[in-house]
Amino acid sequence: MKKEQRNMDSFLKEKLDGLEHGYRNDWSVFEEKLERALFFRRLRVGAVVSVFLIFLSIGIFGTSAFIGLGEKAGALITNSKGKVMPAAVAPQIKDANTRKDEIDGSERMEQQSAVAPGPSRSEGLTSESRAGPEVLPKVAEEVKAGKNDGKEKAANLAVLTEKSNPLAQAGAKENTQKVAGKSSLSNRKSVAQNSGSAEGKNTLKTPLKKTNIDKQKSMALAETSFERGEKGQQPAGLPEATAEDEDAADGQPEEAKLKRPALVQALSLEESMKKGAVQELVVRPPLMPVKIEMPTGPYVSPLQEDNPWSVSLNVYPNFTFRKFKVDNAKLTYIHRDFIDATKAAERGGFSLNMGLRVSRRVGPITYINSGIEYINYKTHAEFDFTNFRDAQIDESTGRIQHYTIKESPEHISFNDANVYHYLNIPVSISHQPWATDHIRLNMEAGASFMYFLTARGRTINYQTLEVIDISERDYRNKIGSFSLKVGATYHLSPKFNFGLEPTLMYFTNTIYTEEYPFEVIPYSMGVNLKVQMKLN
Amino acid sequence: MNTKPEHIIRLEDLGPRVQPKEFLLNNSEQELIAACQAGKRVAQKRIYELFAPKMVNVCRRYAKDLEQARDFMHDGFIKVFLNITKFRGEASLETWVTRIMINNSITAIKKEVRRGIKVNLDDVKLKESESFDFELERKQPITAAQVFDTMEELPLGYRTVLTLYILDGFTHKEIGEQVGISEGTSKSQLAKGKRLLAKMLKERYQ
Repeated sequence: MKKEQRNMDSFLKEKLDGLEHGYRNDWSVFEEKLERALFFRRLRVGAVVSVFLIFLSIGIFGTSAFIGLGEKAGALITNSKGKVMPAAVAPQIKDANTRKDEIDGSERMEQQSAVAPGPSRSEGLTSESRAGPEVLPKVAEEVKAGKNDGKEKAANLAVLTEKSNPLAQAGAKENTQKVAGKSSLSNRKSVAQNSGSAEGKNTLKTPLKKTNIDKQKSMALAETSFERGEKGQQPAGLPEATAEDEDAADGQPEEAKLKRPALVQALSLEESMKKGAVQELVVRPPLMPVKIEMPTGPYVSPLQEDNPWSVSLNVYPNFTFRKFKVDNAKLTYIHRDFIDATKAAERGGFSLNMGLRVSRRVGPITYINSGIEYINYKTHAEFDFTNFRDAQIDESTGRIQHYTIKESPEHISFNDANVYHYLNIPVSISHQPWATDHIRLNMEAGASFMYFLTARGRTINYQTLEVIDISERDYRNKIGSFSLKVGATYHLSPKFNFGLEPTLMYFTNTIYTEEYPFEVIPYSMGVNLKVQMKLN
Repeated sequence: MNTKPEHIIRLEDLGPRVQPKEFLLNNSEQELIAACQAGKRVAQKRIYELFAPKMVNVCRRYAKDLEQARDFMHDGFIKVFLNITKFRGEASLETWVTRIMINNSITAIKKEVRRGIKVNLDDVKLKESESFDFELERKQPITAAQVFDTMEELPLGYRTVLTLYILDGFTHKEIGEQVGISEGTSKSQLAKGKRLLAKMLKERYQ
């Protein structure tokens, strides 16, 4: 049996080793596949490099050193109304992002509730409701004007009440940070309960021990409000003693006194009210339940320009490839060695483009862009081949009839940079799905109309293989292109930004006229380094 | 057609001449590889034209038809050109290219082969009268095409292992690693494949 199997091995080897299956040369088909594979490989490499660079740029530009630089260079901060103002002018107003992080939705709701007066006075009034007089008139004004339903005001109020609550800070100093945090949260809760429940419950863990002075003063202030507002209703935000306050006062009385400007101001306000200086401190309950709307829109950087229109100067280098195609039906017009020599000789090169760009913001983070650019596509030509045969051309049809071997082969060798210059009018839509104050992720897709200006360099004649100047060839005057960009930009100020943008730009047509039996379609791909300066 | 005369630059003005590299005429394997590694399309074309006729036969052994064999070969050559910088010259270029072609073809049909092996559990047992008579074959030769056609009708598992072992010189261990089966399965597939092939050849041509 084993012998038979060995026989089978040698039999099959002998029979099948030399078997041929009728191969025909299909290089042109394979070459297309190879081109595609090379293209996707470049794309993959480009994508990996781009992602790496984007993360790197975010890592570098996102550090505090750069942020500090940005702020020094005139970083701006938005206030609660979305107005942009310099950081130095509004130091007390925090960045929208920071504020968003600090106050979560529920807490903000409680803060907002503090504006609305509760139906009855509870024992659980806390230091939160003791917001200083600088807050009180403001709150009263807003409530009076019926403007207490905005999310921005809630956030604003939250920041202001926290800032104007020195007693809570003093209390926190004595306790551990954890306890202080807890009590601050409890304070907010009790304020909410004050407005929402007729029988407000004290949520503080520690029993309340109120100082007589504080209670008397604050009740006096509250009574004043009652007289001017609706009876039996209590405006929130009036000062009241809490356990924390007392702790703070007991522990360090002198220091606590010093740290009570808000209380002192509250007392002076009370005096003013008694004297009749403040006439308009009227608090009314809201007619409708207060609804808090959480911010749902995209984050808008404070460095975003106020004017929806912007004009900017763009400078960006890019790397150009080109696709060389020959129609099989037109092969008889081309010298057999031209295609190989051209494909072997030409490779992509770097070029620098610049232009004026006009953008119009059409959504919070969406732009439509246009403009005019001068762009050029550069390819390096390194011809090094031997022309050993002459094509015999039929003058009437332009077809090559046959070849004759040259008596002395001609060696052609030269290097040159072939540059094609165009005027580009792009139209694109860009979207910035992610942003911080300084960094924005930008996605852009568009098309452009290109007008041929000139071409400089050298190449070879496609029929005789003689060296020619490329300006002698006929080019399409009008050509289109598609582009796709994904990148990150670092905004140093509203007027100046720079970024890395992996870009793919593909011509819709060959650069030559239809008369030529071959096509050259450029495409650029790479990580564009963009520097943009807004002119308006 | 463009009949516009193109301005001609005299070669004498182009500076010193460089020694030609005639990729389309006579060039050594090392030159071709070096040029290919530099991404020269002419060299790639030359390598393709040199090896494609043989490689299409290699791929055909694993493909179900010539069209699929061409696809396998194209994919294989793409891998060759994308990875030619990794070629260190330890074996000849042809051996390296053939290995890539086989690996690529096996990867493409691997799932199918393994599925076929799992399903095909029947044992092939032959009676003495069913075994192929090699003596008789010498007198009445069977053509290579006939043998190939018969082989094509074998279950995919048998056929693949048979081809890998007999024609492409893989060991059972290598076949096991390549196809994702055990060494023992490879051996049994080979033995059964040979028996079945012998039986089929006997039935048809003897």
